[in-house]
Amino acid sequence: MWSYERRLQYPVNISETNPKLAQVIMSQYGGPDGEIGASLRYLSQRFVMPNRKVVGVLNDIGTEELAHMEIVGAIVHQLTRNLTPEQILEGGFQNYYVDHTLGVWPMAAGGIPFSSTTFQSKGDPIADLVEDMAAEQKARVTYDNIIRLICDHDVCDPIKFLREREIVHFQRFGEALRIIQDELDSRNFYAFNLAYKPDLFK
Amino acid sequence: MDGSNREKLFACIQATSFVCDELRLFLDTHPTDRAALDYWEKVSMVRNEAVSEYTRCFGPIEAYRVINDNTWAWVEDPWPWEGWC
Repeated sequence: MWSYERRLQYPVNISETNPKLAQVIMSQYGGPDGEIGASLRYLSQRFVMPNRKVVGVLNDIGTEELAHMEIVGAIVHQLTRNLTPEQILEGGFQNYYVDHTLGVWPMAAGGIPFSSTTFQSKGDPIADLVEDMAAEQKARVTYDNIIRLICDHDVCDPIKFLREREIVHFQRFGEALRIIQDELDSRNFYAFNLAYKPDLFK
Repeated sequence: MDGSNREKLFACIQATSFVCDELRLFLDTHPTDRAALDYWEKVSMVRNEAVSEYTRCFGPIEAYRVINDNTWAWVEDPWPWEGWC
């Protein structure tokens, strides 16, 4: 069960709108390496994860990603708030605007709608945790790419915070993978799936 | 506190939490309804006391309210989707 707190994990206070930047940053809302996908990936993987500590990592990072989704949404909203029709055209925001006005909708920067096909819940601890580590690195690279395009400190500041969190999460997932490997046969990690026991070789 | 007290306390948290969830929705659109406001006062207080008592005796249920002795208690207990049987 979740309950809501009326606060952002990291504050967002942007004074200048920028629809071009909003279209790029939007990818971390509903894009292939975005926060919604991250949260759904970890929260979905929890159920069959065989180790309680590792479940804790998935649960707590999955929960934090929901807070990051809110931060990215706040950034996109503040970058597009009260845009005039002229600013929409000048900023190349008309294709988004015609379908969503100034609402926040989960999609990639290229316009591809959010999809759960961007992540897996494989039901195998090693497969899932290695994917989770890669996911944190991909999100970190996306934030790197975004930071190169930003001049405004008000926007850069929360983006840098989110980028740092990717690095911390990568570290925690690395530890989670090591915890799982300690429970496996050190001569062959892949001989069986800790989350699904039927014999592999008959 | 024994097992049956644990179950009673947990049932109290479940019940008062749902009453709060339902009241919150109602009050969002009826913010001056006196009866609902009074009910919220009463039930949210009972819930707070129940959560504090449960946390002290049996371990944490809220991520910000973890009380520890010498080890991190958050990941020790079964997760709710594991079921009781």
